[in-house]
Amino acid sequence: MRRSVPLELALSAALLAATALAVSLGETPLGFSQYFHALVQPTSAAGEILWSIRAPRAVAAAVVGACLGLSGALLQGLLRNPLADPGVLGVSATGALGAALSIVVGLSVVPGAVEIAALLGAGLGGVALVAFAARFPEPEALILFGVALSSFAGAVTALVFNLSPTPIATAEVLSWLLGSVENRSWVDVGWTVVPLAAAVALALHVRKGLLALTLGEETAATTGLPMRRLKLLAVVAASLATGAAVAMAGVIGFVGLAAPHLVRAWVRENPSRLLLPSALAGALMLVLADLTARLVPTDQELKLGVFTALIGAPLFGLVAWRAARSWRT
Amino acid sequence: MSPLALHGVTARLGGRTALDTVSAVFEPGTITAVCGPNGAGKTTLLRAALGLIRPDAGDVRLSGRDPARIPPAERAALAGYLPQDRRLAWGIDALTVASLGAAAAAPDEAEARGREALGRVGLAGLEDRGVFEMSGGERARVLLARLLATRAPLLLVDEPAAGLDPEAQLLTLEILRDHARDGGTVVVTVHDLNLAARFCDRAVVLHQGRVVSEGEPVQALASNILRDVFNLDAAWIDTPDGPLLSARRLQVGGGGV
Repeated sequence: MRRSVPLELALSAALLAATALAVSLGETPLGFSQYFHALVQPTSAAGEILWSIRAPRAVAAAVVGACLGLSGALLQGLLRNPLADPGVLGVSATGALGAALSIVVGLSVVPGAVEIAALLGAGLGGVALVAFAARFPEPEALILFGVALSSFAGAVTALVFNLSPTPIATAEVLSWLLGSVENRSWVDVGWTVVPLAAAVALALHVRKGLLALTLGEETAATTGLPMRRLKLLAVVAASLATGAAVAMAGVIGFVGLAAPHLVRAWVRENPSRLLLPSALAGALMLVLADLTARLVPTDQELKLGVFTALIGAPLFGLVAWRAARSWRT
Repeated sequence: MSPLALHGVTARLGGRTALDTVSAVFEPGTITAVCGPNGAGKTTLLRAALGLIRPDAGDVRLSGRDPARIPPAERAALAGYLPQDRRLAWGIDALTVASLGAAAAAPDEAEARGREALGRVGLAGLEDRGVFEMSGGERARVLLARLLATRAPLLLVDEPAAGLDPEAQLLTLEILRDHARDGGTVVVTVHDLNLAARFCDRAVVLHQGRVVSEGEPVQALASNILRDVFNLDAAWIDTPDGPLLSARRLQVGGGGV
């Protein structure tokens, strides 16, 4: 851990600064005295804007980003593949399917039901991926399987729309699928922090196993680590984090791909040291992305998921190009 | 009790019999070459020895126990494995890779063992170098260092000489032979029969999954075996550096088709 501590501190400081910025800036311009007022009197109008609207939204973005960054780092280490990402591999899509189903059947009124449905969906997707990866470990094969899984979950989600009883339910699910942390409350944040904390604890527990997997599946199995258990726990952690992110914010792509990519060089590519920095980088990215999406002057507010996809998809192309070059040698 | 013994082991992989009633015992203080053409079952033998595949019949004994039932940490203390595939997923530094040999040990202990092992393979000073910034030969040495860092008495080594320059091949086999001289047990698959004859105490020759010959390398790899198994017209020549194989390919059907 030694080498990654300065990086983690720097990322934490940047995250705090970005969150403070996201709480300070917004559509409603506030004067200096109003900020002061909000600080000393949280129940004032300005205080409401800062602490009940902007702050939970910024923290929600941070938590979702941390979930996705952690999940991406876990999946990349587990599958030994720099292109692994909960979105690309279909884990987000199966999580979204779970959540969409729960919304359409009217479970959204039951507290926690959508979250649990998303976690279950992401868990099933994760298990399918690992079962496939155990049999066909080649990175290319896995990406193709992920594409198939993602498309299939997308198709079933479309079927859910198709058969949905009311257009209102459809609109609700669709808007949510585009990905956003708009109007999130502290209660929503609480629902996501719990699975994130569990995922972080599990991730730290399995990190040595991820490092051993650098040697390949079979050699890792002879290193003396309980690899079968560690791999299973890594999937559980990635699915928990992805499911929690999807339940909170819908489908937000590419953060899980980009976050580990941004910090990998800083930890000398060591997958066991990548986990926390990647979670912090994901949080930072999403707080900044959400702030940008809020501040861009458009008639309809930009959806966070749309915005990250616009930036993330070209990045995926770039990473794929570089990975393909390294596979050739 | 032998560090490794196979009794009538049969293993089928993908509908093909990779090992066919193989029996062999490997004793401490010896380095044994497992020889045979491609597809003879050499790698499968090592994988079965480690419990990475379950035999369809017969049994494998690692220090008297079924390797698939030994807890991972205990098994790692008994046997170290170096696969032929030298691909690494990430470009981590040499010391971190070598220290993975002692993955189940405390971090300081693992690092000390990794550092010592890197010194033994001649890579002292390159501990911080990323494995992707190394040549193929250096990377192979880092992986050999990882094997040594296991400090396991039994080492199972798959084609350690493949793709290395001559000096690195000799270094690798000298290190493995030293491990056997120090009382360890080494089982190594090699395609280079000269290396087998020069460095190994014993050879086990596999052909289509069966043990067809075993004994001192030059005897186990006698002319009839070289002809029937390897399709070579060959003979051993004594030289001051050890036996040397003079060989040419046998023509199919005795010369004319």
